Amino acid sequence: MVEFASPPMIERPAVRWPGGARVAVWLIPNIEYYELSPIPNQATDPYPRNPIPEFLEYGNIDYGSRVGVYRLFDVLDKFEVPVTCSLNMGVPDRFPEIKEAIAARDWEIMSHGLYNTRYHWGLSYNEEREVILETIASVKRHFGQQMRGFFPPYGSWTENTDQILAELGITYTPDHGADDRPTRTPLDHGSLLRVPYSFDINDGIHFRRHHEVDWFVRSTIDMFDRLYEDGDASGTVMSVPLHAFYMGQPHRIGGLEEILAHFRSRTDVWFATGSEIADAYIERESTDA
Amino acid sequence: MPEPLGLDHTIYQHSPLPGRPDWALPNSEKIAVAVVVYIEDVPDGLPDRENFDPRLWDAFVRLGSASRARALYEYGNNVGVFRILDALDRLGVKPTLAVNSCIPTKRPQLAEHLLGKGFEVAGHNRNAFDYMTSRMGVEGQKTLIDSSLTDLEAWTGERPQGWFSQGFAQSHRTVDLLHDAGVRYFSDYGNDDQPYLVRSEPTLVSVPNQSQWDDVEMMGIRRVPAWEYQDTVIRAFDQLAGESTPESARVFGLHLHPWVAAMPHHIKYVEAALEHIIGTSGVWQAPVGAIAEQFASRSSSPLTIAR
Repeated sequence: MVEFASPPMIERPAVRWPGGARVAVWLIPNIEYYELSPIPNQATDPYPRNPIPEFLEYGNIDYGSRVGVYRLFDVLDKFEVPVTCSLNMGVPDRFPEIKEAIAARDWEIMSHGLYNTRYHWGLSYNEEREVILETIASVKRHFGQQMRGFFPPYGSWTENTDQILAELGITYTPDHGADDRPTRTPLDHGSLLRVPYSFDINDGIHFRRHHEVDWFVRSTIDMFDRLYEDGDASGTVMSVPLHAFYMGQPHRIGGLEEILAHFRSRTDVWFATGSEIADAYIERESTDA
Repeated sequence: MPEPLGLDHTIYQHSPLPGRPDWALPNSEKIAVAVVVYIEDVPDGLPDRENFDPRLWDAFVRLGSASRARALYEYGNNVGVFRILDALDRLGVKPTLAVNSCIPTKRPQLAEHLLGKGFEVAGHNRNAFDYMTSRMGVEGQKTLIDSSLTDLEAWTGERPQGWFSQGFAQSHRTVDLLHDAGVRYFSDYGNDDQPYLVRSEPTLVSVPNQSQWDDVEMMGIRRVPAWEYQDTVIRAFDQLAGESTPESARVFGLHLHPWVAAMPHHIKYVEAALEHIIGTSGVWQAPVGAIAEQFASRSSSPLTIAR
């Protein structure tokens, strides 16, 4: 499906971040909308537990839209960090108050498709292209931004996604956990930059399973510390994917403060948006060329 | 710019917590605390697989035998429940019992022990395999609700005011059917830190069912260690109590299933969490029904939702 065609890291030129930083911290709150009644018979059932309406999962996710997202705003405001919002474009269509809160913070919008219940799996090339064009228009309409990053909803990359993104001039896509540094994938026509985006340190994955917040904080800090160490030789990216409905829970939000305080306690840390990371990497590529 | 679309359903309305109308507690407490104890049992045989939680199917009956499910509920009803009731009694907690309506006939001795203590009894389907989903016809759902409430009324002498759907399972019609049946509150959605109105005339209140720290979800299914369950409950409670203001209170529910929470290796963590909560100042501990009623009675902006 998705091609990863990067050479082994020991063969690559070193990555250098602005100001000589060792690690770029990429904070990515996912603000999502799950439809209660999604289009049936897609490649994945978002509600496998029970027939629709499935209010256990829907209720958890709706918590993010009613309550949890505001805790993320508060903590991210407190640390005054640049933020890249992975946004289902259904959210600003449905919830003007959330849209306004995002716009007031001037977060970068990385579109996360239309809804987290509308997968790209199974779409034809042209259908997927239309959806991505729709999200570009939506980012422009709601936020006045030219969308530069695209993350398919639910991570539903298809064999065509990268090529469509490259054709439409999109700068970057998350790397699905493939590397510690940005990588460039050559395509039939052009190429696409992938920015590290962890699926291993990812609240959307952990808190569906055996782990709770202490484990998440410790693992995130462990990851950061190693990337910081390795970033001396070649700059790394520490991504922190978050979800309003998971990290925004009352028992978890304190963990985000612990994580950000740890990052802040180190020098040579560059807090950056997806576009800033991509641009710094592209600049380095042009220097090396 | 087109009008905002709102939710993709009309079962309840979207309402962001910031900017809500005031909700003050009777004595300006910070947080309303409800403890819900589930009194449940399973029937003979296997659940209808199409209408049951596949995660519990794996845990209970994957081997094609309902023996494990029955053993778990046996433990909960014969051993575990008394551990929980002792702890609640010691701490002066007034719980709400969410009771499968099979209990009075299926477990008459347990039923006898639960009566006369002033506990609120709320509806909770007929048995623990009895999920009300959209695969069940409307008449079947009406019968489920009515017989559950009627059988509990025959046992306690009072029609339950509250409803906890077995397995969090609702159909598209459940809320309206509960409203039609005279239910005044239900607790199925983990989407808020406050109660909210979902129907008016008469009012029907949704009291959050904070499933992220539900004992079955956390310890039973996710297998998060019990000491992390304790930590989670305390963190969540402290955060919510800390966020409340005199004008904007919060609600905290601790929902306990004797077959999970009262396991001998779990109970001390549950007790420690409860002790922390009850020992905090500014707590209004009350049955869910009392919290829902207080909320509905002070509500300044009743919602109306198109049926």
